[in-house]
Amino acid sequence: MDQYKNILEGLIKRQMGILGRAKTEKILADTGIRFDFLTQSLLDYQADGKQLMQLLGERILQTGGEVALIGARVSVILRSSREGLELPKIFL
Amino acid sequence: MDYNKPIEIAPGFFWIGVYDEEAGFHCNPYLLVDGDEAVLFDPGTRPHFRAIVRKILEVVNPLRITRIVLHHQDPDLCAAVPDLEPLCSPDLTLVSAWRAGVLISYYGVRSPFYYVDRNNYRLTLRSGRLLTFIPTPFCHCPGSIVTYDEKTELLLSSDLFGAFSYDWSLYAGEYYMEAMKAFHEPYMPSPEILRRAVQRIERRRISTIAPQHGSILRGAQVGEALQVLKNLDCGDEFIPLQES
Repeated sequence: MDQYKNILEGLIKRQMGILGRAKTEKILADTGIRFDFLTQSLLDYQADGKQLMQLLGERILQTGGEVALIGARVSVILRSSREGLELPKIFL
Repeated sequence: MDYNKPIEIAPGFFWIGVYDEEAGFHCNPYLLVDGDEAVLFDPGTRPHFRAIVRKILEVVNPLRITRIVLHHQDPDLCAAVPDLEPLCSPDLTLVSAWRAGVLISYYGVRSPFYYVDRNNYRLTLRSGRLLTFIPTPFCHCPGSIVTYDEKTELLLSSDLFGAFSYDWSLYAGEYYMEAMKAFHEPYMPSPEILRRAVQRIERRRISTIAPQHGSILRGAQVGEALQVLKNLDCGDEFIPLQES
């Protein structure tokens, strides 16, 4: 895991609210992200955090359209600004 | 729960919306039946007009509807009002704040307005039942209001406490606060404006919050949602604008 852990965790939790648990589990499939749905915490991932965010953003858009992406965008932007992280293109 | 039927959410108050499995943004119109009088709240989503009328008919003769409360002027609340008006009482009035009413007129409505801000934010029904209105300016429209019913401690909160959710249910589930934040962050203008509106609301004793989007909040969820919105970063300053 890298410095994107918190922002990724927040993004996944937000999608639990917007898309629901079942669809969120689907968008995480094959990403290598291990997420504990009971404690709502990110356990592990191996890939580059920024690239994973781009991948999740694309899947969120594909699954829930602009509503699902817009619903996550402000909190993602805020967190990236506070933590000094570059955001992938899809959230800009 | 049978979403094809009107659902009583508090004594006399019915949810008369439509459950659309594909939608991420649900509209919740409500109907109050009070003695020989009935009141509609935000009923105007045009795609659902027929379904809403069918549900009204299951509860009450629409000729008993004397008031339509419009919490702000957006089309999801108001667009079908000109089609509803002929079905309602000849004495129908539209209840809104003045700043919303000015714009609602452009839907081509024909009924006279009852402006809450010219009437001490109160409306007394024939039975003596009192509905009060709380101004929530710029949340998200200048003339936004919400309705509070003292008798049932029900808040009809319009856009406030609404949510984006593809995993919709009439009553809020365990992940609702995230869905609620998802809607308020891009739609409410600033943390200060949102906080002021929520502080006005929380002075009332509230058992149930019924928003116009999203799901209904009850019990401990009410206090939790008030706290979430009072502390939410939202609005214009956090949204980058890509100008050419």
